[in-house]
Amino acid sequence: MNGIERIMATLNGQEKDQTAVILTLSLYGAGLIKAPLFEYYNRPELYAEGQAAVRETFHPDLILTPFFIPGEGEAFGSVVKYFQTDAPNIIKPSTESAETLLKLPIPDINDSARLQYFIKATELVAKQCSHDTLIGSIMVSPIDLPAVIMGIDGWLETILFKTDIARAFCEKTTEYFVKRANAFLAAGANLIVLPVCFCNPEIITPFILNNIAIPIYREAFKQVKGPIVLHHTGSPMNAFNGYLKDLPNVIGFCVDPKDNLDVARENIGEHKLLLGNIDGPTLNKYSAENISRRCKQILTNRVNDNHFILACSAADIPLYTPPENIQAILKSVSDFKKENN
Amino acid sequence: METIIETRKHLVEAILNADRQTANQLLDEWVAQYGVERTINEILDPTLEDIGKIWECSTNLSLAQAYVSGKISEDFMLKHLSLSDDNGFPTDKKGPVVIGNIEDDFHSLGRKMVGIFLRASGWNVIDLGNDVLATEFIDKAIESGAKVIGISAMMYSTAVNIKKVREEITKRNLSNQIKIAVGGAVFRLRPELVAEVGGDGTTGNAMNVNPLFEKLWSESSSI
Repeated sequence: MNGIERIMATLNGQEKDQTAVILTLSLYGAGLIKAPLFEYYNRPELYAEGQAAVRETFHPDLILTPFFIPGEGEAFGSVVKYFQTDAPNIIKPSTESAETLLKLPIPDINDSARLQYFIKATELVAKQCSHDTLIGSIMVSPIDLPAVIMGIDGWLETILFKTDIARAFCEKTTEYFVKRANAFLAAGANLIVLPVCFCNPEIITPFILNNIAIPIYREAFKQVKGPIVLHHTGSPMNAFNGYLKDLPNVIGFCVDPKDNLDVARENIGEHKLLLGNIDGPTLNKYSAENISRRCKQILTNRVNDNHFILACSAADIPLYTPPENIQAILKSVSDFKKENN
Repeated sequence: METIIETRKHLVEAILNADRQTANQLLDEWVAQYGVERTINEILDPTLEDIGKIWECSTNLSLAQAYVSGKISEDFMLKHLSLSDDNGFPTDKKGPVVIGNIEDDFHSLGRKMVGIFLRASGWNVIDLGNDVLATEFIDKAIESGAKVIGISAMMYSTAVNIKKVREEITKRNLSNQIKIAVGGAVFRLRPELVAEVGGDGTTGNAMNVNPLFEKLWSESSSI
């Protein structure tokens, strides 16, 4: 089976040759081709070259287009800092005050160089691997995006104390989100991955989720012309996923390494994709043996779960992670299948 | 009028609902009836202690709830404490202490909350903001006489830069004079990192920052 067949079989709860695997290797591709990170996150052809190297080295079932959330803020005028070995980060939000938020121009996806980078990278990656590997495009939702534009603290203040402004701004970001998501799909992405970087249990309350976030999610997601996977970002999501499971077009949930997978499955129901939960950002800290052991534990736990995908949770796998640690995940999956045949 | 227990219960509920307006209203009513001192001693402090315990013992308290707790304390100080300086906090200050996000770290929410709770506890806080170099932390501590530096980092990649502060302290032979408190999401996930980066102490939440700073302050000798 190839990656497309494996993930589609998982989606449909069918038999497959082995558990599908999704690895967060967006950043890692830069290391494989020794690309400076500024170039990698600004030249789509270089990003595609990095992901071609990822495919050649690891043969993952799904390739990600740039996992570059700060770039979303950059499109709105935030200032991004590039590092030598770590993914870029925002050093200055485009605005920190709720009062100026509504005056902020919404970027045009056809004119913005930053947004065009995302789309062109998707097109190039899609050209390389559309016959055998799925493509997931990462972006943020209309209500998570303002946290990238104005910082978590500024957006939290706005949501908590200036809710009318928050709702008004989210009307604008909803329209923008729908255009972007559909542009990704038109460029060749098969699914949209949404890191829930603000609306997670570590930041907001269930009240805010249910009364502000979910209506915005619902309105936005129903207009997306493709499937959506919600990603926990860096927070355990079990407390919220039950509220999110019936949103339009949401087909799966990538959960946190600290989320109990049995509880996660119970929360999202029997038929949604459940992805997780190897901790990607600490993969460089463990031996290949430790990683294999962890994978085996997860696979054993999910042995009867036909809708499960072994995936890296949290942020990117660090660029300096030994390749054998990543290979250990892939080998664990094939070994597990052999052992259980 | 509600009893102390009922009011505390309602204040906890308001904070857990991130409802700043209701919380402030409850406190204002108590101040009008019983005065500022009793409101602090019987309502505000015990409620914040309860919230702190919830935060310490559970993963269910969100930043929104903790932030509203801090804002309520800040609102109260600004509104009701007459013995206050320009910032609205008591003039009888502890410290000074220096806080900031380490070099390359720009996640300011945790640092801001720590600043709010420290000020509410009477500390003179010098906030250096985001992306602060090791030398800037030490220079400011020496200049101001701060014996404790609070350093925030959200991610591992930035937390490791705290080592540079420890190295700078060692280089200038100030290990007994300046103590380092570290905090941020990554330290909750990986407690062993506190020692790895050279921290003298940490706390899992901003509400417990006062006892931590008091402990570190008492452990350090004057510059």
